[in-house]
Amino acid sequence: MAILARFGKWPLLPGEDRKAYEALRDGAIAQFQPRDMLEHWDLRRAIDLIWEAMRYQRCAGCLIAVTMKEALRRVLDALTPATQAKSSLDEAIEGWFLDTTKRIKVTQDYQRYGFDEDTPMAMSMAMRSAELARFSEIQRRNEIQAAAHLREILHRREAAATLRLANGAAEVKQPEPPKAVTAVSTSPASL
Amino acid sequence: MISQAKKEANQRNAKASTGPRTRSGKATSSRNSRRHGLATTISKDPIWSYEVHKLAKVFVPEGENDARGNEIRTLLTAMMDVMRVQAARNELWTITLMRQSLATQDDGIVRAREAGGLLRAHRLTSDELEGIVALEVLPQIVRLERYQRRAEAHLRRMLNKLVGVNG
Repeated sequence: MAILARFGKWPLLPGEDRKAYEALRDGAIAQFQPRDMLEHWDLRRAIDLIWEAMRYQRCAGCLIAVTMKEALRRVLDALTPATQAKSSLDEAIEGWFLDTTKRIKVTQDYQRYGFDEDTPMAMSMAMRSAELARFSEIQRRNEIQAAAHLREILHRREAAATLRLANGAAEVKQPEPPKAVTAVSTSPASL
Repeated sequence: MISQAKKEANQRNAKASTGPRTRSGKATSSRNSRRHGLATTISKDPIWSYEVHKLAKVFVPEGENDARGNEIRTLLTAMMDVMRVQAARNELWTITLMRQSLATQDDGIVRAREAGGLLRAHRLTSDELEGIVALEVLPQIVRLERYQRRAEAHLRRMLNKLVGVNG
């Protein structure tokens, strides 16, 4: 781990779970047991890329969550008749997030328009589709690169093992030099 | 194949400057690369050069002949260039996170800074704060990607040259 640390600071942001990163890092070290500079490098990059990918995945979920209120407002604004008081709409929106009973009432009131409990989330995702697509792209790219780094470790080990095997086989195939003629015992027993 | 006329038109159009024209605009854009320092080579950055030096003490064996030692140092420099971009990205996240979290502590009332004009005031967890910050840093993260690609391509070339490995 000390060698991995030499490649730079751990990519932890304020508020991120240090223990989770350490578990990821220590698990990867235990599994791969890097042996040389290149293996340490590949493993460090893989760990950091996976951590960043997890960050973007988390951010995507959080972005949908923080946009939900505005998404709900947009949907209910579109479905509510213009004659209805704005204050009752505000109340319905606040009630949705604070009270299960009020949420059920809002769902029932707007059900005839096809509204259900998943509608605000769908709207939230639609409102954030461009950002979510970008997060998803970065996450996917990080995961692919992390996998490539880990494959590189295994590939180099295989190549080194193959080379050792080949060298070993080459040594075995060398014909043995003829043994030097030694003095032959002249005792009657050896004849 | 494009026609000669089209080729000449393309070349004429490319010469038309799309960059800043006013003095203040040019002054602003001249500072762009200094925000993160990634436009300069790592060898000119004293902090990162020192990091490479520390790493070389770990990986370059004592008594290693100069040529081989220099090869390893070149490789380590390319590796640290990749880490430099990662550090710049994380710094961007950190600064924005801290700025946003200060904005949420005003008067004990939790407020979310409007990002994209679509967010409303409500209590935030650190995950939600990270989501809002992600929205704000996303354009800059995208701009840093070209430095990431450049650093990684350079490292792959070094690896291929020195180790014969497809990185």
